[in-house]
Amino acid sequence: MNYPMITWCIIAAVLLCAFIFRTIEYYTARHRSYSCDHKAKHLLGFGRETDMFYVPGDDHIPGITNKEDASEDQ
Amino acid sequence: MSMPGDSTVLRQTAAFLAEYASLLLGCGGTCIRIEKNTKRMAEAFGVNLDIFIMPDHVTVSVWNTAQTHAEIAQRRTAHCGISFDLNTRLSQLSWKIADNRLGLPAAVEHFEGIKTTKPTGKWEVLILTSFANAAFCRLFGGDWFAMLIVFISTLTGYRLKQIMLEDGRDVRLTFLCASFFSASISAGGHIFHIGSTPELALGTSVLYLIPGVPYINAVSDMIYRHYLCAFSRFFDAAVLTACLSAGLCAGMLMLGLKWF
Repeated sequence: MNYPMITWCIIAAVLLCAFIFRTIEYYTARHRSYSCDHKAKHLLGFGRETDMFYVPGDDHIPGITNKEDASEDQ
Repeated sequence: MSMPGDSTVLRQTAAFLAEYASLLLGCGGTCIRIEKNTKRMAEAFGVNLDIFIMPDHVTVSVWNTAQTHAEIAQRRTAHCGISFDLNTRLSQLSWKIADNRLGLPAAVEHFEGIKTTKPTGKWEVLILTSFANAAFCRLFGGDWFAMLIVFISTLTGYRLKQIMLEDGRDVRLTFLCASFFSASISAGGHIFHIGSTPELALGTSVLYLIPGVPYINAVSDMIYRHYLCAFSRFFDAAVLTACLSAGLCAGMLMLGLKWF
């Protein structure tokens, strides 16, 4: 196989994987919504870095007001 | 009994006409169609109308016949996607109101019914678009293998477009990705030496992404001197066309097709 053939196969495989993931995600979400009333969750999703790296006890989360400090002021 | 000149009636009429115009603009109606339809209905309701159409908003002012009192309503353009079915139903409603002299409550009732019109099923659209694009390939002189390749590449590219739009991805990114994958899949004809017209398969595989309706509407708006809407529609369509061209070129470059 030459370079264009390998590239074509990789592109086709990526697209196929995307469709397969989508189908799995769809059926998983449908199964979950049937079995319990929880909101369907995505297999893959986008989030902010603060969502991922925040550890409870951290001093400051960018963009979120410190509620403890606000209540103390009052 | 409420008369057309009443403030409340004027306000309700303005609100209805603004809603109507925003939906018609959102589903792909041209500015001249929106003007004609709303004026036709306003005449049937016994009021005078001025309409101000911007790309993202519609402002309607409704006057009583004595020109002593006016009510203004502004609505944001409905983001419902281009729909010929909705477009036709809304135009039919305007004629129904004008011909049968329907009152405002009856008109609102009909309008609410039209608003619940379901869009054409996504699977039907997917299959029919794929067939249509394959037929395009035939029109340009492609053989049966090229048509099959175009059918498959359109099927995959259009499905990808549907998935990305359902997930709320940016429409420009969606067009770029869809054209890249469609072009790459259709380039298989050239790479694996399938058929005698692989270049036609590649060229026609992204035609389903051309935003034809905004281009035509832009010309119509320009003819009727709605320049702001015309430029807005034209540049929207041009950006999408640039995205699909970038996707096509990226696919060709990645697969080493140096035809230009």
